[in-house]
Amino acid sequence: MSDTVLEFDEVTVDGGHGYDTAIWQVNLRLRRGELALVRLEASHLRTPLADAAQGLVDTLQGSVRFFGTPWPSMSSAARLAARAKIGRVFEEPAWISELDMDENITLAQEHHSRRPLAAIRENAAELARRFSLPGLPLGRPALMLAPDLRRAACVRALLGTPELLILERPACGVYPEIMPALMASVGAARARGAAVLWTTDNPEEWNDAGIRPTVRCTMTGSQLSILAGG
Amino acid sequence: MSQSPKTLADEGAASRGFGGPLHLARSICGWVGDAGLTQARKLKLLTAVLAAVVGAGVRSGTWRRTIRRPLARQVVSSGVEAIGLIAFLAIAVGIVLVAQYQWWLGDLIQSHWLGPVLVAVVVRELAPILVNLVIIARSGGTMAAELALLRLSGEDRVVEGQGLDPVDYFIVPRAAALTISVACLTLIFTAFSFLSVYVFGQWIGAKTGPFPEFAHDALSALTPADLVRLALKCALPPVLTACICCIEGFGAGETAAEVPRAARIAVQRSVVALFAVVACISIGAYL
Repeated sequence: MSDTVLEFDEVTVDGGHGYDTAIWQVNLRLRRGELALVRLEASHLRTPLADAAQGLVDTLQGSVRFFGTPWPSMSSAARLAARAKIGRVFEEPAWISELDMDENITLAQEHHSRRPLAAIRENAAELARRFSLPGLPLGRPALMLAPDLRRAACVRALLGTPELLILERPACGVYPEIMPALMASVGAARARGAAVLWTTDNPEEWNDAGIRPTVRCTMTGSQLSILAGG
Repeated sequence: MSQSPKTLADEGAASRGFGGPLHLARSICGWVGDAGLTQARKLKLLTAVLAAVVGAGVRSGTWRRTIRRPLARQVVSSGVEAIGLIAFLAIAVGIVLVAQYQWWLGDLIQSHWLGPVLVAVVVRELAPILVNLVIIARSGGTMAAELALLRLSGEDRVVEGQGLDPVDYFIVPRAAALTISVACLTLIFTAFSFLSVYVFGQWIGAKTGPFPEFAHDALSALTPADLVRLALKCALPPVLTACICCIEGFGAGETAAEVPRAARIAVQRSVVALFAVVACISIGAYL
């Protein structure tokens, strides 16, 4: 298997679909264990970067490769299987309203693995407690407080053994209290070979030494500039 | 030099191309062509979704535990919660049938004709049509509205982002649940209407005969072809309803204001599709 987990090669995506900005000729490569920290402008938080990384949007130009394979060249089943290897904290509150929180959190694991539900729920509850939740959250997402939804989103993203973590402002509204748990979990994921794409607009988070990024980038308008690493 | 207003208007109309018979014919052809193309595109989309749903539905790999859960939820919502309404309608239909039978034919024909009449009216036509209509009214619009709202809130993208196929997760269980619900509710409708006919018939003195004879006459009037047609009428319309409602829901547009319109159109098209399918099956039976 390729050592490069995710690769953007001259990727251009338009700014439709409710994004605040397009991305223009983005180049970025993430190998196993690497972490790219991307600083976003406060006025352009919804970028197509994460959706492009998951192959959810078509590129106008260039290609996004996941483990060396461009998303459009994968079959439908291969695309779904590849996305099963990605854990993501979405920018917007992204929950299925007809499911309870516990079902939402365990959905991908239940779908893609044959592990018993009790074992999946036990793992999720353990992670939830690490993120200062009393256990696996219950009830509808609409009834949860925003900080708890963010913590639950981190639990969902980190559940299982994702090969790529896409964390869109994971500490939004819960900085700095979430950072010890988040950095410990992300560190463990990196140690076993996962790559991480982490976005933030918070200057304190950007300068947080605990994140230990291998690549630092900034999004200015639709341009991604690599400041260090890469 | 001045010109009369009539002459100016005529010139204006001529310059814009109004009024000429050729232009009128062209406009009508254009309108008919546009409408035809639009309908053809919709039919193509419906066929594609139908093929995808049926293909995914018969693939065993589709039915993972995460897909079985929405299936169960939808069966409860569309089927189990409609049992009371269906039973009430069946009893009412049975009463109406036996009253009309007694009014028009009571003195002319024998008791063993009631069974075949019931089979012809209830099993062949009324039960599947009424049950499908109830399902469309109770679940069709709701389904379209649900899907329109979840698309607006980006839930389809969340599902896709987690590696689940939105067709498998949102459409296939709904289509399967509607089919299961219609099949079960049709049986319930038939049973309740037969019982209603017998009990009400006894009450008003209709020639129903003893119950074993009445049941035997009714069941022996059922042919294998009746059962095949009944199965088709229970299977095809609900799958079409689910596909139409999902297409209208997912294609509702980008604002919440479009949701009620999508629900209304979904119900309307589902009713049209129901009667078109039932009519085709009935015509096929009598050809």
